[in-house]
Amino acid sequence: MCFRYLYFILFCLFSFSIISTVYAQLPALSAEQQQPNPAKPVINIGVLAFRGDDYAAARWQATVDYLNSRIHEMHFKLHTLSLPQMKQAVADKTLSFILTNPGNYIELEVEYGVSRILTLQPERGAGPKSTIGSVIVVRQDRQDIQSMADITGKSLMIVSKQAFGGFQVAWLEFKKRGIDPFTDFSALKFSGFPMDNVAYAVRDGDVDVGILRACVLENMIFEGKIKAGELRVLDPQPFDDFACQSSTRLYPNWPLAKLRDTPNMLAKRVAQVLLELPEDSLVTWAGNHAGWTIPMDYQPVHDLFRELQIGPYEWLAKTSLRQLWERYWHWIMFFVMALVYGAWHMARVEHLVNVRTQQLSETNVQLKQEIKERLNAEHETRMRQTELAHVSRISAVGELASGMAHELNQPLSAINSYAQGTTMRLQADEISTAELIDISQHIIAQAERAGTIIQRFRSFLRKEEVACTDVDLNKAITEALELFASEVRKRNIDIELQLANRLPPVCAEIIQVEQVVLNLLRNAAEAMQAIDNKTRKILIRSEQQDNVIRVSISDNGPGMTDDVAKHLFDPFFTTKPDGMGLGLSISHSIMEAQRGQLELIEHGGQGVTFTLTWPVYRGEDLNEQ
Amino acid sequence: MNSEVKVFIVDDDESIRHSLRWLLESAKLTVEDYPSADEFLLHVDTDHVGCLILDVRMPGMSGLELQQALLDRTSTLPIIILTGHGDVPMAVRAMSQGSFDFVQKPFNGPQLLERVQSAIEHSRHLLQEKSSRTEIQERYNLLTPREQQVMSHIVTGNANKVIAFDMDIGLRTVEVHRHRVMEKMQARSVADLIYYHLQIKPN
Repeated sequence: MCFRYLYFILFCLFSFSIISTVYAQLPALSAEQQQPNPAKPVINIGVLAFRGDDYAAARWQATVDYLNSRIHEMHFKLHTLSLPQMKQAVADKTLSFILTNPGNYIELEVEYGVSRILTLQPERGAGPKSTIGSVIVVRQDRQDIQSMADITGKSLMIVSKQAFGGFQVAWLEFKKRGIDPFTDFSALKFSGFPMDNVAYAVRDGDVDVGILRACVLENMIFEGKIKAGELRVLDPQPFDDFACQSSTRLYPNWPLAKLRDTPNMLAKRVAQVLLELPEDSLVTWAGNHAGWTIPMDYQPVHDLFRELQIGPYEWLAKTSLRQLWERYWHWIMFFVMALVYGAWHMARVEHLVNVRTQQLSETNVQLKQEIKERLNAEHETRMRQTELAHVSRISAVGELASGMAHELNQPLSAINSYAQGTTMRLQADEISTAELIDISQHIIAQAERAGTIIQRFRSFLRKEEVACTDVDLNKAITEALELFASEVRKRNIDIELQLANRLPPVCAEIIQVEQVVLNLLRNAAEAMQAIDNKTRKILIRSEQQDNVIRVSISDNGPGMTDDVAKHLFDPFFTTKPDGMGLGLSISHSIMEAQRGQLELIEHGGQGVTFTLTWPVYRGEDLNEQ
Repeated sequence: MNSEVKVFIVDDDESIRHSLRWLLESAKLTVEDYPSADEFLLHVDTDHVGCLILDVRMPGMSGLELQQALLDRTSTLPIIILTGHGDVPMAVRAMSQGSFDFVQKPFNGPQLLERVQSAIEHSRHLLQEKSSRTEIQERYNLLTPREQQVMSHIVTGNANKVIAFDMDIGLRTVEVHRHRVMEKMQARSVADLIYYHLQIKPN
């Protein structure tokens, strides 16, 4: 449940942050869009001074002058800037155009939306396309350094980490060879602009290895600052259309780019004018290039930066939320939506789980209820069964009532006769003490006999739970037979007893055992109704076999069909016209309750045999009960 | 004919036999008891003055069956049926077959003794009746066929003349026969003769 609310809160926070970002963004963007470009007569052009302000001013002033000579309605002004200055100026929008190296351009393009309008033609008749590379230089006499593979562990000097041709291009080559310039050199030194310092330091032996922009070495030799042959270029690459040596692949030359707010018309004018600049003119000569051409593809520069994870790709991580939003709003939106969807999905799953859990627990409660009901029903069934057993016993007793009366009549009559005879003899004074004692003994015996009969019937009637007492099965059989005696006489049945001599007791209740035996005897007697008076016979046998004590009761009646035998123990199944069909069913239950078994083992034409079996129990079994 | 008074007991229950014997002997009666009907029939001459106390419910031959067997032997021995509470219909059947009495168990001694005494009286009477009947029969058997013929005519009330006519004999002859019949049958009157005639079985 808590998770659901948490997800909801998260969802709200996300929504709020997105909306607030968008709203904060919109006025800012529109303000920028609506801000009129101040129609100033001064058009500022920023130039990267990678070899110092003087060099840059000397190189590019002619180009600016050329622009001023061609475009009269405004004044172009040159600003020589270091890399940080360039970035600051672009950020402050104090410039209209910038002229910088490709690396710096890509950074500014990504960060501030500057766009190239022209690319500088390579200088000195170099090829028309890629013109920026790096040279890795060592002193000519350093025989231990023959290729880039030899430079690890040496000291390295570069102009600056931000230098494109002066470092980053070479860095990529290092990386391709598995060399990390920041860790794999014994020292990494920075000379700062001008780049010439690097060449001097190598030449003077201050460092082992230096990195220069391609063509810088050639220019320095041309200018006489370095002697040809003093420095050696490692891994010079073969280029057909490039005049300078390079240790790396080549990248497009410097672009001229307009800032985002610079009007397109102005950019178009400037581009037109510069494209018209002849290849070979004072201006181009002063700028040490071959004029301008249409903007080149700077994708290789992008690739390099991405590969090195620097420039715009490093800056990306440090950028403000707003800049991030500007650049990647669709990705962020997608991500946020994915996140929101995820959160919603999880919340939904959580909700569904809760719903299912709820349903399951309801089902569980229902199941528990059903189990309870079933247990109640079972309990009730057991109660009914007990009641039925009771009823069955009562009806059995009803059937035996006349028999009981007869049984009781015998001792009562005997007692009466004894007493009466004795009275008469006493009155006539014709009785000896010995006779009197003898007759008294007889009277006592008959009274006890009557008492036993009553006791037996009373306990037979009593409704009792199954108890586990030591039951002598032979005794139970004998007592059941006594109850059945009148029936035996009436029906003229021959009872044959084959009782085992030493029978261990079973765990049961004697009255119930007697009831079962009596039930089977009655069934046997009724089954034999159909056969001749003289041959009616019931065999009762008790025996122990391994761990089982068995009582079998066989008659020699006509037997029963298989179909009857199959349903014999079913409740309410009966073949007697006035039977309830409960006797055997209840007997079966009684035996089960006593951990015994009632089975029909013979039912053919020779008569029916039932067996009652009980496990031989030991003392510990009794305690388990 | 045996004039010794005897009470017979047939019951499968030994305690009943023993206690009844005790009771009856207390009343100075001679008692014979048998555990089954078969034993009884095997050993007993039933022409006794006395009675039979018989349990209806017994294994083997039942009380009713024994009663039937005794009737077949023209026994005069009166039978007192002992019944349990549930056996009343059976006792009624026994009575309709000629039992003298029935006593329901548990009986009390005086009541049973009284029944036994009256049964003995009845037995005595029956036996006397039976013996007188035998005597008359013997007298009758002494008559000649002609005299027997005349006797049957006399008991139908015919006058001598009618008899003489019917038998186609002389009146005097009828008178002689009549005198002989009255003499041989020891009849003092025609009424006596009619009484004796009812006791005999004509040959």
